[in-house]
Amino acid sequence: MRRLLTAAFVATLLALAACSSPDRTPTVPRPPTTSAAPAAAAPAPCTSPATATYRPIALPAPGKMPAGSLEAAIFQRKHLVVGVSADTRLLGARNLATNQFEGFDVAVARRVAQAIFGDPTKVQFRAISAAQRIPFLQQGADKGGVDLVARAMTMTCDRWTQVGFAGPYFESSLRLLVTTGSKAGSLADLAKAKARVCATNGSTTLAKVTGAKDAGVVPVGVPLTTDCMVLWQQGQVDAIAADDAILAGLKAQDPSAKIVGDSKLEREPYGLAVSKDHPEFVQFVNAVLDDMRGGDWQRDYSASGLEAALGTRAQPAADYSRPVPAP
Amino acid sequence: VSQTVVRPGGGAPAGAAPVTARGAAPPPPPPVARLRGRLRGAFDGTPGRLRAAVIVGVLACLVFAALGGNAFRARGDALDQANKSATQLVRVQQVAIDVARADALVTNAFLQGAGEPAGVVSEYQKAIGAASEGLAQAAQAEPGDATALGAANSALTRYTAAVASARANNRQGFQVGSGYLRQASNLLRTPTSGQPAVLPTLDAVATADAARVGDAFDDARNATFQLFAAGLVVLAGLLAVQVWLARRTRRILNVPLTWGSAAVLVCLIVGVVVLVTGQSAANRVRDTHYAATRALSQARIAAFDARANEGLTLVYQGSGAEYEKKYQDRLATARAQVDGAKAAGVADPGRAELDAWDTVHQQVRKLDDGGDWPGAVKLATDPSQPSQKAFVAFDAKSGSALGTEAKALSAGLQDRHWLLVLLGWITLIAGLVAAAAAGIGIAQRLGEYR
Repeated sequence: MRRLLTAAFVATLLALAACSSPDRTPTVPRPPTTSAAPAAAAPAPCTSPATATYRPIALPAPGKMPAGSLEAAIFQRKHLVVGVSADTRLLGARNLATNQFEGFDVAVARRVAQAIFGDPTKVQFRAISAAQRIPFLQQGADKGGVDLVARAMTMTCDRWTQVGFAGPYFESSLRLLVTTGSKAGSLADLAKAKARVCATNGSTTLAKVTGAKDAGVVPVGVPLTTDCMVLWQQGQVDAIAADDAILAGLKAQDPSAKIVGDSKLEREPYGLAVSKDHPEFVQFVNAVLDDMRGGDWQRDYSASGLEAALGTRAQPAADYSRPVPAP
Repeated sequence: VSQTVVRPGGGAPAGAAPVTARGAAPPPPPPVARLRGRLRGAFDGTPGRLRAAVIVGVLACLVFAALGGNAFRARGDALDQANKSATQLVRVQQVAIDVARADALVTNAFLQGAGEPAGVVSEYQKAIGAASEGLAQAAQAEPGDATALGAANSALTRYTAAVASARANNRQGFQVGSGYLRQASNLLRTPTSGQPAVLPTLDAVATADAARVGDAFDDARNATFQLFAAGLVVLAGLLAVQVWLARRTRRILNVPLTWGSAAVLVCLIVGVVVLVTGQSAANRVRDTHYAATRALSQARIAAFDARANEGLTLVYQGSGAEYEKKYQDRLATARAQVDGAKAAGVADPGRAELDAWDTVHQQVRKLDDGGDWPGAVKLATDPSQPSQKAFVAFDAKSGSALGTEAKALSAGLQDRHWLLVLLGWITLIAGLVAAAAAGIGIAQRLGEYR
């Protein structure tokens, strides 16, 4: 047994040596941090565009779900479990007066329930953090997780290796929230003024803000966007950098805020995430989203309050070029 | 009267000495040598030694008067200091309890949104008011704590401002309210660079006060040794003089000296008995009422903190895991301190209530984790539900136990203080009387040489 372990260890060492770049001498072992970091940072190989998804099925009538599919299992369970944000106004937030979730993410999730059950209320919403999105999907609703995540989740190549995406159902863009009196219109303007710019920890947004550090921006990282809003209202930061759909929710809580920056730059396509093991459910949700082109999308966009904050938008075009994996 | 034998090198009796000296040395000696010669002459022979005995006996008694009297004063002062520091400790911990209690109340009310119960909000305001007053009183009572308490007060001011914003936004249904609540929570619990937090600052002050109490107890114990050592030294000195006198004068007892020694001995015995029993009484106070006061205070701070963290797990829903960890941590502290209070003699500090609350907490977590957030909130905050009932019962029980113990602590440290003052004076007087007796007794013998 010990000999076997030793052999396996030697084989691993050899494999590691083979992986290391040729300019390093094999006698000097590379520190684990330097060897792990490039692997983690490297983007997943993008065989299809990040927004490319599986082609939709023909939308079945409510209650007539294809046999053996996840949507059929959800119908059997009598409710859909959806992970949403609890504090992102206009996208996903709990209304403490009614105890109901509200927002555009929530409305789209209800459309999925409508398609499965013929009843948009057969949804159990779970408030989850950004970090819980992928683990909860992998767990599945029957083991304490969720069937679907509708939580301002950007479709990326990296995430496609862990989950499946239907969509995009909304196209957000990285923009800035400043006071109505501010003359700044971009991150470059803020850099000139040596402004303090807030973003959430661990986000790509904070990385971008930190990237502008040399230009003069003072980045400030906090756990949640509501924390940014607190600092901004207290004058401890000059601007908040985030997706405009999220900024719209902040603006709705303070009349002295305005959103600036080009909405055509730094696009963030939001997708509805599903377990990687259920491409058939991605196809089903894509059918639901496709069905919303008849006017439901515009109705939900308007009713959520996003239209008032961000102006007229259209449902993003779909790209069904991603090959459906064989079952 | 016995005639002493003049020793060869000893010189003549005092009266003859100057003559001998003058005859022996024709050139006049320098003034210092002359003084030294005269001093040596004063202690030559039996009368000279008697003079030395007078000085030894009287000095020994005076030392006893000073050190012995001081021992009682030191004990009294040390216990006063212990009482003063313990009172300050109780005061500072009460501020921490009020603040933690206010935070637990307002966090749970936050979960009701615009429907926050008015009674709870007014209780929050009352607790904050009590904390502010307590901070002002504590800073005045112990100037050494004033700087740290000032920092705590400034953080508390920012905390109340953040809570006000949290409530105002939350009542309008604005999610930024939860951001302000998190800021408030951090101002209370998590110090940042250049910004001290309320509870850790108060804890540091309480720790310093507790160290002062410990030092004062140590000082109080030293008083016993001081008296004992002073007594032994003086008795040994008096005994030595007595024995020497008996040998030289063929009288077994010198009566005034004996009375003086007896007075010192009685003072010493009574004093040591009083100080030793007093010390064990003080130790008992330290191990019971003082330990219980400290444990109950810490249990209450930790329990209110855990209660607030329970609320925060529900406020932050998906991101609540870190608060659940803090809840577990603070509850463990509360349990350990409640057990400590019981070990220190508190009959029922509320362990059963604490456990009952934790049992409901686990149901709350189960409901929330299972997706029933409204059910979890109701179970955790509704006054008719077992969670609130159990916690209120713990609050009442531990609070009244703390009040009783704090009173007993103060009374215990002030107990028989008058006796120490009285004995201090008696020892001083007895020492002076003994000094006089020693002087008179030896002077009688010395008179026989004139």
